[in-house]
Amino acid sequence: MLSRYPIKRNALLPLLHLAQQENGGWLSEESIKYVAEICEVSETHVEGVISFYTMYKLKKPGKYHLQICTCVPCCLVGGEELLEHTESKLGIHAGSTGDDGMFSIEEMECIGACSFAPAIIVNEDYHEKVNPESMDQLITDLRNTP
Amino acid sequence: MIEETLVLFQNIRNPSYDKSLKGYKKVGGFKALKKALKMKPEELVEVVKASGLRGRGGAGFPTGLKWSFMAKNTGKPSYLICNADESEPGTCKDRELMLKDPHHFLEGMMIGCYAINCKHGYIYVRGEYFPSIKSLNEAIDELYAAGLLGENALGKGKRLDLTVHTGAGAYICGEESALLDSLEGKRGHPRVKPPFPAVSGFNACPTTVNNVETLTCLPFIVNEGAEAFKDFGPENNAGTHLVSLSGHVEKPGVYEVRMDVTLKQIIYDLGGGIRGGKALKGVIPGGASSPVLTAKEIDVEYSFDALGKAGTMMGSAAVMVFDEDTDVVKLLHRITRFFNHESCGQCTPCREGTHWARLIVQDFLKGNGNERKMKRLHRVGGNMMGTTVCALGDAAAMPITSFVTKFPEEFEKYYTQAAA
Repeated sequence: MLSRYPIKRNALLPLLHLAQQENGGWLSEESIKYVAEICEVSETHVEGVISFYTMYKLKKPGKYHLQICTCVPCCLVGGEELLEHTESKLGIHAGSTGDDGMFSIEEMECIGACSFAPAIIVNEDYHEKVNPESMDQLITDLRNTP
Repeated sequence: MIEETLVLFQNIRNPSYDKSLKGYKKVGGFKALKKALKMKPEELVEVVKASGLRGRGGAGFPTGLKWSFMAKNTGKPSYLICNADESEPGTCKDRELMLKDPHHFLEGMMIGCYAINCKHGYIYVRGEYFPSIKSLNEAIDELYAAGLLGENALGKGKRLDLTVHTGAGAYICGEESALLDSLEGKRGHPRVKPPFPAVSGFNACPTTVNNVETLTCLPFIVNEGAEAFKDFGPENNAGTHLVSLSGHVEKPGVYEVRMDVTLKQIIYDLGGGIRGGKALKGVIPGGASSPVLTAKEIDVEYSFDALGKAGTMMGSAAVMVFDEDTDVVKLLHRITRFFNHESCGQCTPCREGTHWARLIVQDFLKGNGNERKMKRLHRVGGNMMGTTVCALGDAAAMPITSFVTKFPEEFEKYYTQAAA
């Protein structure tokens, strides 16, 4: 990855993604230190970058991270209701993870699926035109996935 | 009844289209690049200038002119960076191109790289676009395997590399100088200009940043000529463009149209009208930052210039439609929440203004609105306009002032009812 960039620091964002992926979806102190060393920047610089972007996590998310968009186009067609429904269904609030570690919920700003709203991302997969019923089905399916 | 005009979407609309390199070549793919490589880069810049192509990312700046600003003979490498950060609320057009016809876009990107003497181009894709990132990486692997990228990509001994770079969730990184900071491995803070990127951009080298859709227009322009491109649409608004239609319409979707159709035709002919036979209340015509239009104002040509004259803007061509049942105050509250969340915090008017705007709109929702707060909203909006390093301050202010001006009764309803 470093070879794709003129200077090492340029690879910081993609390397953080990679580190997060390999660490089960979040960045530990060790992974931050490691990335800082590779990019030849201070750990403080890396922490500053992490805190700026919403996709880097300092806590372990659920096995299934439900990212529910409530931004303008999704909000117009039921995104907020979908978020509330999911929160009450799973008994957790946006920004938290359930006790069994299966699900976490995050309220998203625009995820760029506006013409297919309401839209959500589960880990890396988009699900579009989601309603409370299809959300229930999705949760059941995910629970039953071995 | 209008229909789509297919240039960018001609492959995507073909149900049997195979988006692999083989499939793209079968429909004439990479002929334009071959033709472009027979021209001098300066000639190519002139062709694009003559085509009247304007940037599709939001600002509508002439692409050929932007290229011509690139500093020459600096002894530093030149860079073409594609802005695929698509994060203006309502916009979902670039993802269609990257997902469903990646080679078409990549051919455009390669033509752009040749035009500005770029040896390594970067595609900055927003991090949430996992499927688009995968689609692009697969297509780029195919190009390397076929020798279309790498050692002799732009002729014998003329190397070209392309790299997909993933963002990590920040609206502001769609602003070109913030994007460059982000690409360099920093927090995405917009830069003070000048110097403009064409002089000092990525790693302080001459850089052009172009949008995905803008670059995807290039194969057509090279193949068919500047005049053919100009023939679509009115004077100064050349070519077809992609409109992301969302909200309360029967058939939301991404549609390709000429710029001489009206907003009304887009909503009623292509979008099938308002969902459930309801009446229209208003339209946000060009992304969340564009000033809102009322139902009476939609019979306007959907072009850069006509929308500008109508007091709004085309922006990224994201049309968000809302019907008679929509609570406009709640809608504005959602918009102010967005900008409050996405302000990078660098400039005081924007950091504080987006925060206070959200709180004041929230006051109305809680029954604590009044006339004084209406005026204060206006003032907060006004204080953000033109007072910040980048356009996010303006982007946050325009919806606030336009909503309050165009739907005052909706705000009044909240405090007169609360008083009663």
